[in-house]
Amino acid sequence: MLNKQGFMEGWNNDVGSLAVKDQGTSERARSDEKRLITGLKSSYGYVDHDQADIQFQIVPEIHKEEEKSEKDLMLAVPDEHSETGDHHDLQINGFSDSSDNQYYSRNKHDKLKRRSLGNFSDDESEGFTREVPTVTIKGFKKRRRDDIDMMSNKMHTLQQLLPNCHKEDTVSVLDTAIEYMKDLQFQLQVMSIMRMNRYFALATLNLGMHNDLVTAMAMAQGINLMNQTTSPPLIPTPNWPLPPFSNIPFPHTAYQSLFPTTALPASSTQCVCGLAPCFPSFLDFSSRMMGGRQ
Amino acid sequence: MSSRRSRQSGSSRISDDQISDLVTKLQHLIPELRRRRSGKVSASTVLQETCSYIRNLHREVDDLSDRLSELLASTDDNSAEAAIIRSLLN
Repeated sequence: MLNKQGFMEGWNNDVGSLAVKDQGTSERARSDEKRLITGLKSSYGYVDHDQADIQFQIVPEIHKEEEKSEKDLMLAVPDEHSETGDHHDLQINGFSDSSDNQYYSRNKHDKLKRRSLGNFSDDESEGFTREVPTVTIKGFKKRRRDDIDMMSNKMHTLQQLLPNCHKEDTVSVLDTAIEYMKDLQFQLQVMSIMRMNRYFALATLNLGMHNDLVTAMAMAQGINLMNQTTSPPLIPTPNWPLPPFSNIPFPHTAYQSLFPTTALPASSTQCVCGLAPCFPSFLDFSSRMMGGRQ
Repeated sequence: MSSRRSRQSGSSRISDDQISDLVTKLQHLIPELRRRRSGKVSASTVLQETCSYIRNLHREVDDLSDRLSELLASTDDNSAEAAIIRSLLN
C-alpha cells in the first residue's frame, strides 16, 4: 500500500541499498574501532606537536580482534595495498586529507613512548619524516595500513550515506554530515509529533510547517523540541520530492473538499512542499550545498 | 610553527582545526557519544557512530513514515475533522 517509489527516486537506492550493509559495519564496529585505536595510537607519532589543538585522545583500549574483518567492508577496500609501502601514498592522494585524519587520533602518551623507543623510518614513510616506534605489535605495518584504510573507508561510508554529497574532501563531508544529521533529527521530531495526533499530521502537511506551529504542537503534546539551535529557515523550494514523506498516501478526497486551492495529485507534491520550508531537508539541502559551500 | 612540518601543512594547518572542530560538533549531535564527553573520543569512533546513527535515523524515518501513512489513510472525511481542520486554517 505504501508507494515508496513515488518520491524517493533519488534516495531510494541509497537507503535501500544500505540495508544490506547495515549488518556489516555496525556489528563489527566495536572491534574495528578498538583495533583502529590501538593501531593509530602506536603508529602516528610523527605529527607536529605544535599543531597543537588536537583535542582528541585515544581511549586506551587494547583490544585486538579480527584483523581481517575490516576487509569485508562493503566499500571498496582497495586490496592492492596490503603489501607494498607505496600504497600509503596512494591513500594520501586518493583521499585528500587522510593524513590529516590521523592527527586527531594521536595520543600524547604516544609521543613520549615514541621518543623513548627510538626512531626508524620504514619504507612506508618515504616522503614523510615519520618516526615509527619499534614497538612489537603483531602485524604492525599491516595494521597501520588498515587503519588508514579504515579511516578513509569510514569517510567514504559517511559520504555514501549523505544525500547530494558530491565533494570528497573531509571538511565538506563532515560539514554535510552535521547538517544532515541535524535535519534528520528535527524531521524525526516533527514526524513523531505528527504521529501522535492525526490532526497534527494533517495540519502539518497542509499548512506548511512553520517553526512556531511545530513548536506549538509540540508543546501541546508535552514534547520538548530540543533543536532550538537549528531552527530551520523558511526556505521556499521548488517542487522537489521530499523523501521522508514519499510513502504517505495523501487522502485525496479529504483534501479536495477542504482545500480547494490545492489541486490534486499535484497537490501531493504541493502538500509535501508545504513542508519544505520547514524541513531544511534535502531539497534545500542540496541547494545549500551548492550555494553555501565556501 | 615548527620546522618539522609535513609537506601538506600549508593547507592542513587550517583544515586540521576545522576537521577536529567538525568532528567535535558531530560528536555532540550523536546522543550516544554526547555522554562520553571525556574528551578522548577518537575521530574514527565518531565517524563510525555517525554512520550507524544515520542509518538508525533512516530506519526511524521510514518507520514513522509508515505509521503516518497509516494514520492519514485512516482519516475519514467526516464533519468533525473537517471542522477542526477548518478551524486550524482560520
